[in-house]
Amino acid sequence: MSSASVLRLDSVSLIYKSRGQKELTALQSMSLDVRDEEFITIVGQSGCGKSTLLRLVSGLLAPTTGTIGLAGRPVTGPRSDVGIVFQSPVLLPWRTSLENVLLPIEFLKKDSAQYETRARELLALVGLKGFENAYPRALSGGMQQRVSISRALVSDPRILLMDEPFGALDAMTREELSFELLRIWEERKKTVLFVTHSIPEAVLLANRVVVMTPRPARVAKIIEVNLPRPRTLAMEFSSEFRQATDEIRELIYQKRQAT
Amino acid sequence: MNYDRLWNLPSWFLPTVAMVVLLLLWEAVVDAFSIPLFVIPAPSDILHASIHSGGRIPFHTFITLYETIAGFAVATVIGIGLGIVIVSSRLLRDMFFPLLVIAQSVPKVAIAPVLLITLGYGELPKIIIVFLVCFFPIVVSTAAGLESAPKEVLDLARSMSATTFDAFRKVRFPSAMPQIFVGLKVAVILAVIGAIIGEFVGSDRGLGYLILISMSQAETPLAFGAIAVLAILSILLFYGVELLERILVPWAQD
Repeated sequence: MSSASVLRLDSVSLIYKSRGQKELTALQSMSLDVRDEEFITIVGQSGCGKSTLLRLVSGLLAPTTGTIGLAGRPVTGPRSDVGIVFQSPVLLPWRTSLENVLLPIEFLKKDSAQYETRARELLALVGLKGFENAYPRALSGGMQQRVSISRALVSDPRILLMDEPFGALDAMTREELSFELLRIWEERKKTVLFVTHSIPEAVLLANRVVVMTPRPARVAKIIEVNLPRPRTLAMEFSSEFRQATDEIRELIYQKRQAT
Repeated sequence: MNYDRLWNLPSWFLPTVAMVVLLLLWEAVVDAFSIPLFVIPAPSDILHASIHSGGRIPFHTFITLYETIAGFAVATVIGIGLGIVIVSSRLLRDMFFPLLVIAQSVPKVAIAPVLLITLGYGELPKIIIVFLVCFFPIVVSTAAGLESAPKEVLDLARSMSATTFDAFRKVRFPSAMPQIFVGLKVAVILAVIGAIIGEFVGSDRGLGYLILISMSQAETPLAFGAIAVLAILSILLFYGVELLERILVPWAQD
């Protein structure tokens, strides 16, 4: 694995000031150094600023203080070298799978025809060969999320931002897609920032797990997961896996009892 | 009787049975009590009078249809336009939305005579009344539809530095289409009502005029015939819009 840093957050804070109300700290002084091709998961309770973090990295939000650097350039506005997967697939219902995957290319004002082969490859990669011309309503929730993963990868982004991408899926589909995602990641070697509220999911996927505390949101600890790759379901019963999940649980619940 | 089996019939079957039964009942009651023709005509009299109207029903139907469609078309263009304006600028919204609400709350029947004095007895004032009666639901549904576009896809557009126009054209407007059609379906029924209001207030042609004039001349069967044609017109226009929706917004089907 290359050790070059691709994403660097330097004491990044975000404070919302709504009219007449007191300030709300969405994220407090977060620093993080993400290496190239690293799989980072961010775990914490609802409202701990996980999604805010992704919006900051993609440049959709500007930090109140601190700096973010992505691929050697500071993030000052929306960045097109990120791929985003949201909790719901949000596919456009009037577009086929293939047309949905090509949407970012159209937004970037690039020639869709040139990217069509790539889009088809990506759909095959996520296991949707033969569904290129299917409309979203003909696809299951899991299949729709696969399309949205292809859409996030089509512009060949430096970093893949995933905001609880499997949160709306049933437990079985969720498990299946987790391993699919790992397989895709092994094949395409992307840097991934993956937000989740499932502790086992966070440990299973990650090289490092960033544990966040709620309000004010800050990093409680960053835990290295040294389980070998490729990861398997059986590893969930290993002592190392259990140690990691226990430690995260303790960090999260301890903080909650304290407040 | 097994009611389950009835569900397998085409959906138009039961309403048609009800309609035929009611018409037969109507016919029988008028017959049995010898109700005079000019008070309540029997369905058979209405049909007879409508067919032998000397071309009056087709002529006046055409006029009303023209006013309705012209007014509805103008309302569609301006209504969708205003809906877009309202959601695209806070300033314009704050400026114009209250005015639209005021315009909407004035009873159109009250405006109609004024318009007729200003614009004369032709079709133009009717078209304007049709427009006034039916544009508001189109504005509101367009605005609501545009607001309902998936925020995440708009974020995606923003992160890909898509132009506002591209985001509008590829995401916001198509997302709004199903809602716009909700407004259009409400509006097209109102449009027929608007045309009749205009014709009632003052005109020398159209189905509204035909209803008034035949009532005043004790040609009650013809008046009923005109009302029936009006109902059919409304239904056909409604299903016309629905057909257009099926063609333009195939993804909104259940």
